[in-house]
Amino acid sequence: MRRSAILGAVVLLLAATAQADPYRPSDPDAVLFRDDVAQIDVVQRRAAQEARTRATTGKRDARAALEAARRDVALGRANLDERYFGQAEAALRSVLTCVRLAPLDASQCAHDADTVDLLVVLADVLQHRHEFQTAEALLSAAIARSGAHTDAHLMRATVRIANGRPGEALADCRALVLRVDALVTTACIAQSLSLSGKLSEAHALLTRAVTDAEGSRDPVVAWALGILADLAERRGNAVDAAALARRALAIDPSSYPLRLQTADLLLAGRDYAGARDTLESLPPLEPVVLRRALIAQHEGDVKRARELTAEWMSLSQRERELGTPLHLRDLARGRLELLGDAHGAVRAAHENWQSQREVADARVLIAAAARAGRPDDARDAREWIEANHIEDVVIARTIASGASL
Amino acid sequence: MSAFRKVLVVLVALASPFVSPGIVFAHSVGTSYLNLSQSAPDATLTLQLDLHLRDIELAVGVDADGDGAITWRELTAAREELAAYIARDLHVSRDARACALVVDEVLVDELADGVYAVFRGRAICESSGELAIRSDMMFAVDAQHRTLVSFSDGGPPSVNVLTIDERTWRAPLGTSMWSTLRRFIVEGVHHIWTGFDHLAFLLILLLPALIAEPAIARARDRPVRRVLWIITAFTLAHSITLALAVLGYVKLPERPVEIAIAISVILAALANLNAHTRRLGPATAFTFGLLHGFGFASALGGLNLTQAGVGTALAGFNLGVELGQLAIVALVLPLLHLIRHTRFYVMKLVPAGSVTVAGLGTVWLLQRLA
Repeated sequence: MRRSAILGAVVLLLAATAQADPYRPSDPDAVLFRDDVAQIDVVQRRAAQEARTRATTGKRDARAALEAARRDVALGRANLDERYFGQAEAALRSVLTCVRLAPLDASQCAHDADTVDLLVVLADVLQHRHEFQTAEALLSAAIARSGAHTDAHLMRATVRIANGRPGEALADCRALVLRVDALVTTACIAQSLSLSGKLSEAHALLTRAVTDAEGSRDPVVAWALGILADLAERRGNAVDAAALARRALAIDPSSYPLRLQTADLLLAGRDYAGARDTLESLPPLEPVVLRRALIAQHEGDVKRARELTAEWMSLSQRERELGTPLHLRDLARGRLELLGDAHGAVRAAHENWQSQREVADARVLIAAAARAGRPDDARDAREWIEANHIEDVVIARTIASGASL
Repeated sequence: MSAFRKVLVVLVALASPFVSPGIVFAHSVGTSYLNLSQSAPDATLTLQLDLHLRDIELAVGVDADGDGAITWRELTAAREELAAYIARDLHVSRDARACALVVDEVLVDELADGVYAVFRGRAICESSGELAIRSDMMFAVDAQHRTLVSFSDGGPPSVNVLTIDERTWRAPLGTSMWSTLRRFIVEGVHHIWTGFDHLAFLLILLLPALIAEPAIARARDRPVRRVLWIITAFTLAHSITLALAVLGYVKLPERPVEIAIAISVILAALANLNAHTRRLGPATAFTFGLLHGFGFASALGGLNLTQAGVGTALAGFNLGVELGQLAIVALVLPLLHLIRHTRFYVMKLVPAGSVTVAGLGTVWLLQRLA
């Protein structure tokens, strides 16, 4: 990654200088920069800046650092802006010396942290950039100090699910029983069960829980519906899955992950217009542009597909050159489905598999390996499927097509 | 909804990778650009540092009236403060002695992700010696900030990315080409050793070439010469198309190429089963070698190759492919050469090997068509 970042940085630098035409503005009062976030929420931004200033310039102030980091993480998510996560980490570094160690030492962090919440927020920042192992170690340290910390249990469950370890995730889900909303607990348990050879039971369990919450506009219900849609798709009920995702989105239209999930389901169901409409309001983020390109490709709009593919490649290249976390699953998918570059897709999917092991990750790795004629490259994924009795019609279809398994 | 529930919603809906297929946000990490160059052999380096106005506001604070907007007047008013910030957090040294950084002018520039302040000036250093650059800029407020550094002393620029954990970079002195070459030689060897279809194709052409048929075996060394011809033809052909594809003169989609390569393996293997067609070695190697070159180009294209150093990378990759290929041939050929006169070789090994490879080729073809 580092070597490619160095090599690729040439392009970034050339691009920067190629566009560069520095000038001296003639109007001294010309506004050169306006913080869009300030326009959205002045109060929140001011509070975040003040907290950050206290955290980074003042003496060790754990409370100020926690406040700044929490606000930055929230601002980052609300504005889809990675830079806030770097700011959150900077605030945490001001009070946690462990963050300055390479590799980061979770036990040292536990020793440094005045409050367990500091560990949980740091874990949130790390899991955001897919440093799952360290995030989990921090959450374990947090739970060791405060066994009833529901945020820590829930986050560790999601990290373990992302790591392909549903059994351990289930233990965290059970720790939530009677401590949080029953729907949250049920959805967490259903996720874990669905990855342990109990897809039908998980689907039935979550269906009942969602039915009980019928009519609610609570975003938790939207989240649970999203999970249910995923389970339905894995069972082969694509139409039900798309309908569930649309219901979820109607409840929580601001949810970016739900919007992507819905678009994927509609794309898989060949409802290209629906998929396009679902993505319409989103900014040109890398995953969004990838899906728009795939839609154009499926619709046969060659010119548009070519333009969007070039845009996606440019965004993807920039991430790689900066050496910043890149979502490798999407990269593999783009290389496979958009570029027809099976070998490149295998490399990306395989690298992704080293840190992230969900059904979608297994799907793209197996499909890419089959297309590249290198089935052995997907051996890890196949073994994971067998060991956990993973049920998924898409993977089953790939196997049945005689691709490689 | 309670505050507790809100936290849960955020955690679950956004932190859960289960339902978030890759959240890569609109704005990437904060980035600064530092260019240093030395156009003449004197002590002065020219310097250009581009800092995003958002980052400047965060680290130094130039929005004097606090209205959330930065004007040219506010930026220039903070010039001394900004120069002091740069002098404090950016360190350039040569021959282990600190360079004096001088900002001569401040401009602005509009890049793809927003407006940057452009600081142009000089780094007054020792006349020679290793150049080291260290940046502490922005890390106190943004731990994921990147500074892209470029240094040129008249030739192609050397570049690096500085991060909070790797803040210092020592500009390489003329070694970048060799490291690139070395890296791509390894990639080339790796590709040929793991690209079984290419190896299968080559070996299936070599098998009949070693058969000393009475009609043409006028000299004892003729089979060996044929083997060399086959390898040369294959090498020449795939080198041509690899270069054409990588340099952008010819562009073929990967999938049809991969399908055609599988077909080439089947055809070459089937040709071995007939006494009249199995001696087409060098011509077949050249024709289909052109095709395999496009396959190599796909592999090279997946290695994050950029325009910088493309010639070196291409040469290295091709050299690696040849070395990998020769290593395999050197391993297999002596053994086959020893048994080439035997009935087992002519009547069993060549036909059975060809049928096996044809079967393999068929499997690859079906996989690639799926």
